[in-house]
Amino acid sequence: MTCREVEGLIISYASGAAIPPEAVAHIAGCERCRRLTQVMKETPANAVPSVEQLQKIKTGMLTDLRPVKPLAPAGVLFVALMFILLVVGAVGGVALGIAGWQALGPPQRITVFTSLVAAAGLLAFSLVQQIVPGSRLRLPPYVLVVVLMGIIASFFAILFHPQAEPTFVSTGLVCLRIGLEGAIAAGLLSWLVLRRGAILNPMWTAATAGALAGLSGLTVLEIFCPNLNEYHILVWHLGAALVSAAAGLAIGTIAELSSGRRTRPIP
Amino acid sequence: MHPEMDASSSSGPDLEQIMTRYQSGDAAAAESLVDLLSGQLYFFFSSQMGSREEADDMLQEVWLRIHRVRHTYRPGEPVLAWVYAIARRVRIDNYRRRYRIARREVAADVLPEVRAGQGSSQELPSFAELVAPLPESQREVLTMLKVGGLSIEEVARATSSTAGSVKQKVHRAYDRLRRMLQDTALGRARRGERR
Repeated sequence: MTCREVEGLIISYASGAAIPPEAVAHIAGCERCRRLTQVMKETPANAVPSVEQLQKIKTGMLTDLRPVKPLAPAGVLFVALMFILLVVGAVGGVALGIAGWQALGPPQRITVFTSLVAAAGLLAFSLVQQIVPGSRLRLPPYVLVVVLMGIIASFFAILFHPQAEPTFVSTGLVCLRIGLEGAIAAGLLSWLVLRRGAILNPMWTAATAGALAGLSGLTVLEIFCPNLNEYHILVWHLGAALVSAAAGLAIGTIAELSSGRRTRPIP
Repeated sequence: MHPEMDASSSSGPDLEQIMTRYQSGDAAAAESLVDLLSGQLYFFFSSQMGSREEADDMLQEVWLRIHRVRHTYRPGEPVLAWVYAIARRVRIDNYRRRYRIARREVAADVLPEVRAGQGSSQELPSFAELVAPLPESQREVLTMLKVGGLSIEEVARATSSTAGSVKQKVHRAYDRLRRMLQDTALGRARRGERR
């Protein structure tokens, strides 16, 4: 047995588990592992909060102790977030028209909306995990946001082609405004769901929520805008989603920095 | 393990049951939870920050936050991962606050405070002394494993990372600890020779 293999067993040993004979043999013959095992088995002795301190904490908790309803299951929260995306997309389509949807060919339609729904699903799943402390996060939120935005940009670059557009900026700004309006609506509705949870990392949770809201705005634009110029879509449509994610990140950063300033003692 | 710190004996279904009762407004369960977990949380904070006053403040703050977000615990999920994720956040916020205050104060050339030992007659340094020089992330992971009795998977959940990354940190920490222990032993042997 090697020192590396013994490491895992030392952790279990520290928690009171028995150590297998082959590991015992290694530890007996290895001075470094023997010392490490001894230290890990030792009890940290000097860290006990005072009785008064514990009593104060208990009193504070008991004065405000009432039954609470556990947070809704992850599936329910996920569906709620995806429903917001659908509602914002549908309302946008009804209010602004579906010229964009009609302008797209079947392969473009399938690729664009499938990638948007899939990306939104992954962001919604990540958000549901982020608002529950101790959840298993398979991918850091910032990696997820960057990767998904990159994939969508690649799809758009492949599906659409550059076209001459004399009013690139003026029409673009209209799309950006519409996209951001959709994102703000989705962001506010998402907040109603997310506020039920515990946001431990406001910066990344807000950035993820901003990205999800941005995808709602992007969905509205893909349904409404018939402009198929590649640069228009990449700059103004995807730009709305990126601005929304950046706004989320900025809001989260402010919240994170201000959370460190607050101290609320237990009465 | 210290009896007051030993939540590992009550982890799993028992701790989950207590947590569920606490959610349903059971005062005894709330008190049990404080009694069971405060010792290890206090050690987690004091081993990371070193000051008793700060550990006191953070212990109070973590229970305040646990109480506020108790509805986010889902029965069946590991309680310790949930608790330590919140505790870790409290520690980060405290660290930021301390950093901000330190930035405003005039920097003094003071060496880092060395924690009081458990007695020089001891053959080995205490756990707290030993992990003190480790990088923060390694110290955090090791403290959760040793004092909190969390599994690798639970530590991964509490630190929002993967089990692979936690294992890597533990391996690096152990490597460093082995070297430090060897140096300590060598130093002691040399002193013995001189005498």
